[in-house]
Amino acid sequence: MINYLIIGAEVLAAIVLVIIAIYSWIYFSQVEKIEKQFGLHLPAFVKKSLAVLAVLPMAVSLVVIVAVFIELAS
Amino acid sequence: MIGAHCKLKDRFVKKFLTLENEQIIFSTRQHWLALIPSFILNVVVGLFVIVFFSLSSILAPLYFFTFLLISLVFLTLVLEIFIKQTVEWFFHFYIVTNRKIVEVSYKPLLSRSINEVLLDQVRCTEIDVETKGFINELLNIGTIILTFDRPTHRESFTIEKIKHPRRIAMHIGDSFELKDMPESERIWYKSNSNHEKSRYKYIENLRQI
Repeated sequence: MINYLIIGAEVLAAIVLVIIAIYSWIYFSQVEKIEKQFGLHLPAFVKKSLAVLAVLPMAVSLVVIVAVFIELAS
Repeated sequence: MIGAHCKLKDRFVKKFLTLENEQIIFSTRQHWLALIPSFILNVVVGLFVIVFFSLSSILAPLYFFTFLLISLVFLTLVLEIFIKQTVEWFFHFYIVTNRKIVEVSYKPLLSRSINEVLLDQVRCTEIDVETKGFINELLNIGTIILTFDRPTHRESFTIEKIKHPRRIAMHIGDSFELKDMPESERIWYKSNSNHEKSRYKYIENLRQI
């Protein structure tokens, strides 16, 4: 029972990470659009952080989903 | 243009010059210190998450991976919120020209507002400067409140948390030709001295003398 709860929590966390990644990706593209429109450029660290937020959670959630499948299969 | 108060790039600000004989007085955004409270809050939440992860990993090492994942979700959320606030701060700025005042606030995916006051259509009746708090006083950060008398109603325009508010308000006052107003109606005056430091004095201080 606890194992299923743990797996459920992991899947939920992975889904939240996917949502964060998708939101960050859309946010990043909007920021880029407005940067081009205004000719204003965000500090490099902010853009890099946004890019990391768009990619890293997606990668982590993929790893989690694969791990959960392996766990359920075994 | 007041060079020292033009925090935004010249090329960018010129895009907002749409009227005839329009000249930039100053352009700025809020002082970066405005971001500090949310930054501190995010750091505290982040530290709390790290402590939670460390403790739970020690107490239940079997579920290390699950706790790591949950902590990662919260840390990502904290970082996301802080980045969002930084972007919103960056795209919130003020441009004051001799013909208009513009406040641009752009929140990606949420809202976009451009608040513009055409100075030909209004009469500026009051320019107030507010500096609240020890740190703001120390770093010379404050808010300028411009009150306009419109044909139908009074309206105020607030330029929040900017550096050197008194000096900027003085320049705005000059460009609105407040110089011709009776001295009693103004909150400060310019002395004839050329010394930069002692140029401005508050009327209240003068009355005490």
